[in-house]
Amino acid sequence: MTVENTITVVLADDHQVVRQGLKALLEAEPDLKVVGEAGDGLQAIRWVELLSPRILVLDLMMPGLNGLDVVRQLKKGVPHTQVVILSMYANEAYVLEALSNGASAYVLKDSSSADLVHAVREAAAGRRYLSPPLSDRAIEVYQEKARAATLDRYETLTARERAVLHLAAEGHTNAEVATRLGISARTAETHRSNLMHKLDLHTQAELIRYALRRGIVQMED
Amino acid sequence: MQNDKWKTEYPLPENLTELSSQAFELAAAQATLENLASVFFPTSLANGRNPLFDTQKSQEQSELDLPGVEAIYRTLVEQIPAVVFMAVLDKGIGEAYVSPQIEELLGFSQAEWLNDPVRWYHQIHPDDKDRWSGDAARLFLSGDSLRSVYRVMARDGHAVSFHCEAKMVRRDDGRPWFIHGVAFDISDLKRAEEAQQKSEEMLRGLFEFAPDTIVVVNQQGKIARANTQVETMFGYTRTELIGETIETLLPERFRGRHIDDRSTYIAEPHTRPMGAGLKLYGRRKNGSEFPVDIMLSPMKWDDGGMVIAVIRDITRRSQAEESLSDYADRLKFLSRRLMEVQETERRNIARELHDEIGQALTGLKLTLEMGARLPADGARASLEQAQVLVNELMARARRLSLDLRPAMLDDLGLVPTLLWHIEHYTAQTRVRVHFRHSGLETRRFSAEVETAAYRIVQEALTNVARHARVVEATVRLWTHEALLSIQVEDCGSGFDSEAALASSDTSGLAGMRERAVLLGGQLTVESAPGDGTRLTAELSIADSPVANSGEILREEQPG
Repeated sequence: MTVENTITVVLADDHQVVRQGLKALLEAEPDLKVVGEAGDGLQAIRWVELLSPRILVLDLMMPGLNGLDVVRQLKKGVPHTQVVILSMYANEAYVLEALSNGASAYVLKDSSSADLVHAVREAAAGRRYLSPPLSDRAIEVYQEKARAATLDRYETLTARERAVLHLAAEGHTNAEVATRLGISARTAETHRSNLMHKLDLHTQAELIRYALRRGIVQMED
Repeated sequence: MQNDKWKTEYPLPENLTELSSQAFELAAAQATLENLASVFFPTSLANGRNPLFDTQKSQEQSELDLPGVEAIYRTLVEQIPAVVFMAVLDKGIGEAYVSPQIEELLGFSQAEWLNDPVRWYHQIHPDDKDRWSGDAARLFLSGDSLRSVYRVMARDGHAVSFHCEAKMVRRDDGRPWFIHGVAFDISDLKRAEEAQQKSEEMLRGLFEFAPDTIVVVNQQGKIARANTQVETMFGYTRTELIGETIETLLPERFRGRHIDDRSTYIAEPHTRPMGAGLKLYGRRKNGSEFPVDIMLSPMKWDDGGMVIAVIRDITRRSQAEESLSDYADRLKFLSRRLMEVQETERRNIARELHDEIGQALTGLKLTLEMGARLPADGARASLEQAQVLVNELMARARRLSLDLRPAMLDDLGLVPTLLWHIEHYTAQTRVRVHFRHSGLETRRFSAEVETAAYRIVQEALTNVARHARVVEATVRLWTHEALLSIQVEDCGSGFDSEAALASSDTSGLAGMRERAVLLGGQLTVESAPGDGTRLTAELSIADSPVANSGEILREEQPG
């Protein structure tokens, strides 16, 4: 195996036992060489800056600076080093966060050792890799779920506010609304101003337009 | 000449001019002095002779030839702390007399005073001149003695108040002979009077404008005096209240008892707060009531004892006290609940560690031991089994840690954590959750806000699963200006929300409310039995940082 083909690796994990295990696992491969070990995020950054390895195998959860922060910083300074994230979370949110911060691979801690070796090689070759059962498709699905759903502001109104909106749209004054609902005029006014605030309405005309558009009241012929 | 000047400058009443024009005879000094002596030494004259009179002769022989006696009396009148004066009515002003103390009091020498026949009239305070003229006229005409106070201007312009006592003496045939009298400087007394008046005014002011209502009640329980505050506090005018019984100001239900209490107090009055430990109320004219604090104090008055009642409207204080005690109750309840929750959590963790992790570890240990005893090819199967156990163990440890507090909340924020939570929740409870949010996609808030929001959703969803008997729920989160709103809604069985918020049940509503209040927000629960539940929490996010991305500070180097 020539030197050019050797993949240099820095390991970052806050548990020494885990590091030892990982090192043994990786160095069992002839083309992988662990050149440095770090016990926390800052040390990881220093080693990477110093050694400029091909791969950084990075534990996501570390005290102090966590894995996500480390990737974020490294991608600005040492773009040459590819990052393989090692995580116990199969959650798409983490994967997405890691990938969007610049990680190349995301490997689950409970996946097989062969999976990690594979991930390192893929990353070194400049390809993205996700441990099964993670997949690009799953991440897309998650992204879709997480996207801000268009929240219907009307749904956020309380039952009272809805009743006041209805009566106000029919043109009733606060005093009339109060009588209808058996509340004080002041409370009616508070409800009206709260609901207008929630719906971002500023005038009585806007309120009526909104109520018509939503079908809360019908246009009288 | 002198007489003429005297007449023109001293406008005597008409009839008096007549009198003075009569030819009064020369007043004998002896008679004058006898008269003075009758004032100061009545006994010495009664005895006929005082040896002093014979032995001492005046150095300045008067034309009336009464040397010794005059000298003695001169000494006397010149030493007493008052001005002695005399004027013979039918003689020129030169025959008048004023004792030399005049100089000390007014700054004019005796000679100056006597040489100018109208000086004394000039020096009378302008406001007192008319009164003096009238008093003098009465003295001359009726012979009544004069007793009054006049202000006289001193040389330097300041006014000196004199209390004057003057008498007219007639001859045997009844004709007016001379007047004489004494003038006492009472300026100090006057000043003291004025000071007292001022102090009384101040006391009245204190009474009138005291911030509390002050009512003075007599022994019969009737209102004798009251200050203006009584009008604003009770809505009665003072005229309406004076003479009425103090019970007028009490709610009717307290009146009967108060009459008894009042008699007890009158029997043994002392300063004390009224109705110690009791809630006292005042009653306004319009019938409305308000809480009061009353201090009672006995007071001596002309006709026996009075009671001063100082009444303070404590509406605001009572409200503050109520909310304080309400707050204290809530605090007590929450502390107790906190301890309970902590204990429950610990018990759960202990059990999970023992049951889940402990058991799995034991299994692992046994598997490995067994593998060690087997030949190499059999050991392989044991190792594979051990691997399965380890993976299970990892999954359990992870779940345990997430249940305690998802690290995700700190790492990724509210939306990913809620998505994760909801996924688990649905898997466990079979309740489908519609999650809608706006305004917080990549936004991060302070750790307190994110934790509170997460816990509120978690708690509310737990309630839905436990009580609502539904298969669907909706979670909404949105930001509007400086508020993060969280809403959890279901169409389930509902409950009496007011009762639930007030009671110390285990639904966790009180805890949720407290979380919201602590973050400057509030919690509203709309629910009724059979009518579903909508829980809305609002948290203030005014101080929360806005963005997630940004430089990580590298100052905190380890070691």
